[in-house]
Amino acid sequence: MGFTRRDLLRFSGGSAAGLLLTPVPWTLLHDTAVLTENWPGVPRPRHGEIATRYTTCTLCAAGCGVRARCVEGQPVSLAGVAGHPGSRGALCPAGLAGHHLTFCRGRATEPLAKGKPVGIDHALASVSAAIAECGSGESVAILDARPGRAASLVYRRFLAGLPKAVHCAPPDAQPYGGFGIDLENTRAILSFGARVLDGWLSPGRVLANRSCFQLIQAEAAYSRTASLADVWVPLPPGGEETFAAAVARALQGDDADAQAAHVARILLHNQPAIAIGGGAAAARINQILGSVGRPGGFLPRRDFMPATNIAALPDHSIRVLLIEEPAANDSLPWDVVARKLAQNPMVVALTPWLDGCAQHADYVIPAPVYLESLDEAPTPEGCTVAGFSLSPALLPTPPKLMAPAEFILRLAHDPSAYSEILKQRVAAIKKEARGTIFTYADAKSTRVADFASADDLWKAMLGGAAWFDDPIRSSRTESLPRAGWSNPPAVPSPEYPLVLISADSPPPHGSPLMSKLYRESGLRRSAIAAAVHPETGRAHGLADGGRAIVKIPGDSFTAQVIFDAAVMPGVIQSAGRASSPASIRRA
Amino acid sequence: MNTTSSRPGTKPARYGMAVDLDRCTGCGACMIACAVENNVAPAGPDATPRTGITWMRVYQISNGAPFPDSRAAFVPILCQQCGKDTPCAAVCPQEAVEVDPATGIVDQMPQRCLGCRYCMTACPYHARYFNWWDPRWPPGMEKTLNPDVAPRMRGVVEKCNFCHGRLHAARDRAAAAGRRELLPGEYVPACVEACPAGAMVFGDLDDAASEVARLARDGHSFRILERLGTEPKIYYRTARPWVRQAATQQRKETANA
Repeated sequence: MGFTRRDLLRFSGGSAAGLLLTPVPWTLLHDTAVLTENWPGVPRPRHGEIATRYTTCTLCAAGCGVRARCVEGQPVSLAGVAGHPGSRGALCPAGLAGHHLTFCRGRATEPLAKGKPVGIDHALASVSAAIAECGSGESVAILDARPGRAASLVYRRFLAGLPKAVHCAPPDAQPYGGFGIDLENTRAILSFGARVLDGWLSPGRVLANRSCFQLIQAEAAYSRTASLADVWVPLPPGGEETFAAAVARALQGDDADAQAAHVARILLHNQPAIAIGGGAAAARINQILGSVGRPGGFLPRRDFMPATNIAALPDHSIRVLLIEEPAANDSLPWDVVARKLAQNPMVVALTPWLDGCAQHADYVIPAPVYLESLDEAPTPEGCTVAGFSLSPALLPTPPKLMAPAEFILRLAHDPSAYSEILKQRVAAIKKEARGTIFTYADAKSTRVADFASADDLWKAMLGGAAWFDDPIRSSRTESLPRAGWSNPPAVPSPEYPLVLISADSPPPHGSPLMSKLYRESGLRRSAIAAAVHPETGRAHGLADGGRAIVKIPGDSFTAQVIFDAAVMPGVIQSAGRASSPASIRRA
Repeated sequence: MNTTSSRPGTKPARYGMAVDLDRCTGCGACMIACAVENNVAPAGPDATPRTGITWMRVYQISNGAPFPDSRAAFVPILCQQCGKDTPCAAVCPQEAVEVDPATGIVDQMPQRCLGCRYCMTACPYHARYFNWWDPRWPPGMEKTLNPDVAPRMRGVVEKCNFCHGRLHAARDRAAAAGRRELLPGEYVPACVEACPAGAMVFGDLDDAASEVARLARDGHSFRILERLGTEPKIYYRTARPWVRQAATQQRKETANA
């Protein structure tokens, strides 16, 4: 009796069926699952000595105190410093994940000339030569990301030795000039598009005082701030001046439309009140309200270091421009900068990133990011007294990186190190013996005069501390600067019948965890979304969720269309875009 | 639920949270703090709002009215820590979900989870997340992981556990100080600590003197899907009627998309 092929098939089939009735295949499946779940693909947290260290956030102008939990010296989480007079223990999302910046992609890691690696000495020699070759009428400029620092003094000292030089700042860098906002005593705020509840001043300070003031938000977009404002005034894009004029008339008792009259009543019944958001509109209302120089309004402080608004410089006047890249939360309007460059200019980007201003630069000098080097935080934006804090490094500085101030010191053949400049600043604070030092570790305030020496003060500040000056008594009531709107209002035309306005945008550089907000939850729209009112969308042949091409003068981009009934008809809202006339069509 | 303390000699707590929707600005600080604290990885290249992992997720809801009458609010949604007939615990075939009688916290044990996702189906709040991939951080960023929390592996479900690592740390500190009970405020989840608006309050709901218990009793407070009878321990508060109506009538919550 032979063993046929049929027998073999029967035996195999029977064995396979029988095997299913045993635990073997299921155990194998389970074991395989466990094995693959636990292979080395899952990272293991580092263990070691745990310590708390303190620093100050330099990601924006708010200068919030930061408590870092470190494992073997590596920060693993950041939190606010309880009791900090400026930040009130709070941090924004970008600040909470600031220790991840060092791991972001797109870092500049070595000096580059036209995209090719060069030595730092070569870069210094080339920049020096370009400065020496400047013709008459051409200037050298340093675009200071945050004027008012010790680094700014380094820039000014260097520029003072040149025949024609300008220390300038981005258009919105000094919105209140030498004044701070006495928010603790303010009872009403009329905001022309300022993100009062979403990034204005320090979030902790604003939100701690939120219940004390009425908020009127006047802007085209129904923003996060508008959603929590007491009154939202939906203005058409560019309608700020007209509305402000109507409010001004109502404040002076003249005729105005009902909405302006309502806003004026709120401002008058909730004194002291202020107007913010820039432009002549806010300045005029502040003048009528008498908001400048009185409690609850704009109060002068000591340390103001004015820098020229780059938008105010003559076009085509800069031959050599050294740009300090704004910190992660800010952005630089390149179109404004480009207009100021002379023919055949040299642009030097002092930046940690390869995108941003580095894309337009002849030389890129790689800079450390937040926490990678000793840095400083000047007076927090909107603070009514001068302030200063150090931002001690919590991470090692990668090789070949150089802080912008260090580069300028080398360019000026100054042998000082940036840390020495900072030490001089602290020594000056000690010498003046004014104000108090708030130490982060114990949340105590100590008079500067009570520190035995400048060295003691330096050590305290390196350990995490902030200096706040004493308030000044002053009758200064000059007008506030009219900064704020770097571009004129967009006006529709037959070719561009719509107006593009900016929506909340992701910071240009941030922790990879910001994907939670922008991609994994849709809490904030991505940069490639264009929201329009359904009527506007349908009138232009668009479909909700479809693709569209948005055209603006000199540029166009493709975006995903979102129909949102909250968007003003005739308006396109897209993240990170400057206000502009626009057209839209189905892609 | 068994209310007998699993820690002999200590009074059982019932930890809960009160979220003031009229203060929430939708900044997302809670989401970032949660991800940092609990080693939740950034999105993979294919992640979407459906597949991304956000133990704490802030939704934007709208009153549905057209411009200029449209209004929006932000609602942070996390595991609601159901205290009665906890749906996820009831369906888990692996006993991977446990309601801790000492704290009322609904715990997820990834080591026991086999990834069937019954719990995700059962959860009325969509507050559970499945690891479709191994967690990945950009090169070098693994150094920033919190040593108190183990990253979860591919194939298991995870969710908010009120920062359980912080509870243990607080208990350690209390024990070192010779105490068995935690003081109010000694244990706070990362989201509550991070909220710059002070919109979230955490504490023991059974402690009538606590701020969270006071807010839970407030006339403007409510719980989402309270009618299901699962006794969630997250209370929301708003004085805006449309927000409460939108949240309690189960209107479609739309992420800002």
